Amino acid sequence: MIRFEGVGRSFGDVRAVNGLDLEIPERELCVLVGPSGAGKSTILRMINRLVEPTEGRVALDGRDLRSIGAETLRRGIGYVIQGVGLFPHLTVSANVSVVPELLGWPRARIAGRSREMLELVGLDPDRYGPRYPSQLSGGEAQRVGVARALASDPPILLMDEPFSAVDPVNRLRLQNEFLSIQRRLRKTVVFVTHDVDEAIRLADRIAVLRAGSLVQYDEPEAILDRPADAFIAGFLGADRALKRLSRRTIRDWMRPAASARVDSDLAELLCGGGQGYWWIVDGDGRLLGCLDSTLAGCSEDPREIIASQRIEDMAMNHDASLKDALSVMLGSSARTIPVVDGAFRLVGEIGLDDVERAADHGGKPK
Amino acid sequence: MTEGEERPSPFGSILAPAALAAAGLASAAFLPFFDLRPNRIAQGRGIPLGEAEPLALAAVAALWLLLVLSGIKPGRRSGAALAVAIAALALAAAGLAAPRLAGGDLVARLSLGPGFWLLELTAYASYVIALRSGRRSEEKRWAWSLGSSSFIILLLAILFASGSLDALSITREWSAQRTVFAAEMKRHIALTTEALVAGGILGAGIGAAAARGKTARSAGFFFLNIFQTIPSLALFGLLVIPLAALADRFPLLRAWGIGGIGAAPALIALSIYAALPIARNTCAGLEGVPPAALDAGRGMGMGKVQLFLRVELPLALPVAVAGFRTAAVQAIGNVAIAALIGAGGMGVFIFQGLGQFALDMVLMGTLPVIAMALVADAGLGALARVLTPRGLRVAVASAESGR
Repeated sequence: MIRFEGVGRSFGDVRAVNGLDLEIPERELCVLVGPSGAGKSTILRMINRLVEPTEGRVALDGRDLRSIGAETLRRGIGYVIQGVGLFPHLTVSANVSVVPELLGWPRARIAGRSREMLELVGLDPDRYGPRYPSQLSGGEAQRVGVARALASDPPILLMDEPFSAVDPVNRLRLQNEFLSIQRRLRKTVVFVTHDVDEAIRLADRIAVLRAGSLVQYDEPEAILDRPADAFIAGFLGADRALKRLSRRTIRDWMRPAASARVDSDLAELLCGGGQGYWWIVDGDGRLLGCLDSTLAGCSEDPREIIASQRIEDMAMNHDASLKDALSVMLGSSARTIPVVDGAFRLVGEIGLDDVERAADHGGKPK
Repeated sequence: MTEGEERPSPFGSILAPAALAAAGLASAAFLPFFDLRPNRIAQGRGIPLGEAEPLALAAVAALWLLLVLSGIKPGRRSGAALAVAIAALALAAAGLAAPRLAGGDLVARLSLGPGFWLLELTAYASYVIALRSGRRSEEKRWAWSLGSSSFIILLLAILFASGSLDALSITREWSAQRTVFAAEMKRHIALTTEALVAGGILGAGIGAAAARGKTARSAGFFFLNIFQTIPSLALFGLLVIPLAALADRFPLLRAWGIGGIGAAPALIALSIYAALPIARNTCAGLEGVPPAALDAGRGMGMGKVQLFLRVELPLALPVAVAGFRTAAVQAIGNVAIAALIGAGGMGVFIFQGLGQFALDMVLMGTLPVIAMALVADAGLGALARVLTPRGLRVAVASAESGR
């Protein structure tokens, strides 16, 4: 657990951090968010003593950081920065090996660890290990940066705007990949960003900062539901409801769907007088299309209807957010869309009313 | 400036070799290849190559023609080889014709004339152009330079050992002054080395301090720039006064060999001159280390020493060595001037020769200076290359291929 107790820091006449009391629980991902100049990076850099507080103290598991040697402390804390800061004269695998080398690990262990770390961040060690940083794309370089920070298996990870120099598409991918790594490793992560969406997507807890002071510290849902003041409400933006949806996964809000196998008597479904719609699946449960008795007449060939549909534009993965689901509903003007798993097997459906229920902040998943 | 970047030949593919060929051929055909004087002071007679070795002139003409033709085809693989052949041919012709022309007359002086020197110069220029154009890799270019210079040196050694060059007045001048020459050569090298060591320490110190702080930066470069604007001869002169006064006051200093003239003022001035390019490049090298890499290194728990040895030094060293290379070439030339205040070195022959209008003696001082400068330039260039980490070379390569 990292504790800030009455911490202040001045740079000359400038107060960067003011009377900060903050507790970052173990194994949680805590995001420091705020406009530029709010003191986020200063707070982060106090944790590995790159910046020392001028008042108060920072403690790690009850121990004052000043009692731990700066270099020893830093070797036990992963550090990822916006500019990545890979060493241009070292190969990717040598970059990943830096901290284990500083810690004096045996060679074989370092080599194995470096491969393992590259695999963890989704880079093939045989392909990427011998490359140099100048041969990497921005996203690849940042992956290496994360691998390097995790190499010595530190319990704490500090990340200073790590994904903000990457293009939006890759940023989203990096965020999702990092989230899945974090779900597995459960590090204590302190993450600085000025991007509210990023904060809401990643955080277990968000600390909102303004002009060196902590203005609100809570779980993302709570901050979205009850912003402490007008500044925070403004900072979160007018689309707070949508942001709330971006934290909720379809899996928690979907409902069972009525389905029919493609090799059953589909004409009977349409012409049998029953009202409604059915998701059509193959023998393995994979989604093929949709039959709606209110849209299709008895005279039409059901298989042709299915073949003409582009169901993959409509189906959502169950791990996607409700915000994405809403976007697809609005885009395809369907009130209900099918939900599939990674193998495109139908697992349920989700409707506009489910999304509405989730957006209402009192709403709870079924 | 990046070493060895690809650039198209400055005058298109054919114009430059053609112009050089015309100049080289004309100087071989019409200018005196040899200069024969009945004695050291008498008026000489020019002997063109056509008169001394008609076959060699024909061969030179043929080689120049081939060289121009080879330039028409892209790639120009043979251009550099042909240029080397021309240079070698001119040397061989000089070695073959000299004994016959001198004819055993010990008073007569046979020296190489402007025809010879211009032919060598145009051949060298064509060689450089041919080597630079075309898509040769840097490694290949290095191998070529090494191979062709070894070939020319070997040829010179053979000619010299066989006694073919003994008839030339420059060789006679040299053998008459052998011991003095060896001593002055040693002094030249020693003075250059000492100036580079002192200038290297001073320059690296100022450069490193300048990279850390703004105050050190402006103060250090202000100091070095002031000295750089003073011409070397003037600085040598300026140092004579205070050093002479010092030596007068403190006999101990005089006992150490410090005085108004001699090696001491030369060494001081030469060290300061050498310091500027080294300081500039050390500073640039250190400032070129990406700040994010430094922050990351610190954040990962590297101490000051580790950060310097593992990150700053490997990234800054090649740039600093490039500055050292400039300083070395400059120092070799500046030492020649230092002879004027009694520091010794090759300048002794140059200024003595100029005073007596003995051009052979001037050449005897000049040629070793040029040779030393070329060797230092090539050697330190190779060192800078070896020291450049592969990751940075890869960066240059991918930038060139437009990645």
